Amino acid sequence: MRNLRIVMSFFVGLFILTYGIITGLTHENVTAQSDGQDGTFDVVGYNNAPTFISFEGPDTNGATLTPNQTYSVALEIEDIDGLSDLKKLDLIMYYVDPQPTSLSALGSAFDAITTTTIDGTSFIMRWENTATSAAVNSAAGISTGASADAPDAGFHVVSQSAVSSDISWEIINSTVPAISGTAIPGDRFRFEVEFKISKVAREAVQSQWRFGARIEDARIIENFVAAEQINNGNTTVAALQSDFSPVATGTSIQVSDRYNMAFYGEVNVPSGSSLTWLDLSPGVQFSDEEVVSLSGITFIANSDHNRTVKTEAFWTATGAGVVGSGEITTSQPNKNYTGASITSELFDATTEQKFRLGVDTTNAYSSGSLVLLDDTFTFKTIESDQATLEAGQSRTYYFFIELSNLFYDADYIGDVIVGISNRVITE
Amino acid sequence: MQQFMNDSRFFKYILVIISLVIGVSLIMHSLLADQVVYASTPDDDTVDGEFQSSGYNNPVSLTKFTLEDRTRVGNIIEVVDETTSPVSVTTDVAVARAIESYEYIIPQQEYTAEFTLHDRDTYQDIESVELRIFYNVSGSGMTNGAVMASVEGTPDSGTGAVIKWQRNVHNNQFFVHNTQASVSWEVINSTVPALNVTSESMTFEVTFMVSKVARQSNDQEWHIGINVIDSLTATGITESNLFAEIGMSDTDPINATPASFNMAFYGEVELPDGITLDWGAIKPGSDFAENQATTGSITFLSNGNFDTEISSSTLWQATNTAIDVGDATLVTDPAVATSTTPQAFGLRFNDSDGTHALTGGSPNAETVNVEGVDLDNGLPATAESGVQRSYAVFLAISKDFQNATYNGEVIFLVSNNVEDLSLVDGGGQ
Repeated sequence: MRNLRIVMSFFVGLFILTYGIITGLTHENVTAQSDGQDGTFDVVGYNNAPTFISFEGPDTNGATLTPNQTYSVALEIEDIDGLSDLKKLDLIMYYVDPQPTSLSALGSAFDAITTTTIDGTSFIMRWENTATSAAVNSAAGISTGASADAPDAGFHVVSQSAVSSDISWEIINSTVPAISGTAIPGDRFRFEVEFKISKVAREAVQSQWRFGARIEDARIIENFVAAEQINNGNTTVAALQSDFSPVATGTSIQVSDRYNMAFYGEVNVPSGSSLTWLDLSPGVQFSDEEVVSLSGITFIANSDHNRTVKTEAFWTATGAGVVGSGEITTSQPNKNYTGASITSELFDATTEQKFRLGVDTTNAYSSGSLVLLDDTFTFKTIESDQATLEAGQSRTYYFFIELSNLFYDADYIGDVIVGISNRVITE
Repeated sequence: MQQFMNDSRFFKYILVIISLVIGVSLIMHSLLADQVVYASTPDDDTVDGEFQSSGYNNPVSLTKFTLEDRTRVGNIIEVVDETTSPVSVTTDVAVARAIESYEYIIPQQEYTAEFTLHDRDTYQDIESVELRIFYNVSGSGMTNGAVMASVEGTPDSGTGAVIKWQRNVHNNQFFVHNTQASVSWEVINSTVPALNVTSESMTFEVTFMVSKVARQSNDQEWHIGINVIDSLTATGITESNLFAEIGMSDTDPINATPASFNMAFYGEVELPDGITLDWGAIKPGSDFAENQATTGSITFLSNGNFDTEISSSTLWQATNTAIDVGDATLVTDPAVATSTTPQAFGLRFNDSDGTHALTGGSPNAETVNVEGVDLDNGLPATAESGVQRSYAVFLAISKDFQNATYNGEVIFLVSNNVEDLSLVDGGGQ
């Protein structure tokens, strides 16, 4: 029996070995065959959009900027196609109120900004590569008969107004790429701009001011970079932030830099203006409408504001009725007046050398609208208004006067001061 | 001695001897003088007759036939023993493998047929030997002998082949006989007896390659026979010896169980030389209708019903770039031209029988993908020349597509439409 098992084991082993050899020799059947044909295509005309590498704001995020002050910003961009095809770069400072609740809403607000407006809500600083095909062709030795235009030497203000003086935003200095022949070397550049904020840059206490940028590239130039004709739209970033690396259109508005803006108000009274009353009689009343006007007062403000007037409490007497010591010559003993005092009180029969001064926006007396000045040398609000445009708002104020019954003859001189003040903005 | 000579008996002895010699001489004379018939009294005699025969041909017999796969002889192969746990794998040196009846023959693979003939008239009597490989389709109603007899040459239909040796022809080596057109049957090498051999037994050996279009079969429809033309040494009347029903045997293949074989599927794609699908310069956002390239004439070869497919490599490499550009990626989005997916492209095709026009909703335009989409289904087996097709291939790219030259591959595939049982585990063994 033992021998039988050995014999069987031998044959089983032999079978296994045979099977193994056969398995190892099993042919590889061809069931499918394929062959590949080379395919090729050339893509031309594609333009790579520039990307924003870094932004350096005018101050720390959340800081309050001051109108009519100078600040600097810097924006570094990259275009992997090279900078030569850049058409222009707009660096935009803009005011959005109320705060948008979505990035798309912010983008819409940003997209609507196409110029520096006179209402102080947007400021576009532009560098533009205006070299024309004629210039490029000329540089390339191709004669087109046209004169060559040079690219911008620096940023300029893109203004709603054709008169640059109408805009108080101002480019102080800037750093832009140098043009080498027909090209801008490299694929990355840090643009820097020093600028002055407008007087009417809208006051903000809820960080309504932001920076954004808009780049247009894929400049089509005859015989030069004509290939880049695709995707030549704008590249925009509505919300730039400091130290971002890198950022694209989708940057969250919550993390973008935002700024406040301090109040700014300015009053300009025409040079040589004066308020002169002649031949006033003692006892003259407001109702007598002895009115003089102050025209051409210009108020400039970046927010809601009050327009005010104040005057000195004592007006000094001069003229023929005044002796060398400055006293008014009177026929009464112990009447040593050197001038007249303003009062807001009503006169009585014994009141001497007092006058009252009222200001109104019309020349028709109305006790209801007339604003009385007093002897406290504090501004009295004549009227209130909202932010002005760049040109400001020109106003004429009418000054009414009353004299007490006892009022000695002389010329009385005093300062009337027109002011402007911010109205409290509720946050 | 002197006494003996003096004796009278000496003379007697001499006389007897002389008489004996005379008698024998007379007898010998009578025997040798057959030209002379002496008249005598009635009598009979025997006349010898003789004739010579010539021109007889001894039939040829087949005493050995084997078919082997020797392609791996000497190779180091893996021997897998699946009965152990874990499965053991060892190596060994491959030897010739005998092809068994019912096994699958593989097109374009080399096989070696070895057979021995016996002719009592010797090898010098053999004029030619043919190895006939023939396909007797199921239901033909013909015997193998009849089919074999009809295979007198090698057709381009892939239904048979005649591999022939003929004395003083083709350097006395086997060759593919009577080719109607260019065929892919091929004699690799052969060994035959030297022409001056006079032995009665002779062994032939020929290694051949099976045609690409040798008809696919799962029903053992392929057979091998041998046809010998001999009788050279006879009267010049050659005789054919057809052995149509032979089996694998080292001693008696004629009476062995006749061998029959399956044929594995074979398919081949031949792309036109030097033709590239070149769409030229295109712009980002360019749509299918704007970019067309044609394949040129593609040849599909197959030995059975077959399907064809088209596919594309997924990534097309970007070259000639001014900047660092990623490769292009194949997508199946029909609206790829309007998409902003970076570096996305699509391919569609139209067959040569279509309009080549890719206007909206053209039924012939289909999207090419990585996995492959059908070009044609159920095409019949081809002849050696195959069938030719050409296709228009359309390209579209997304709007966000970097400037560069992109290179990839459009792949054409042929596969069996009918299940090839040789693929079933053990099906061919």
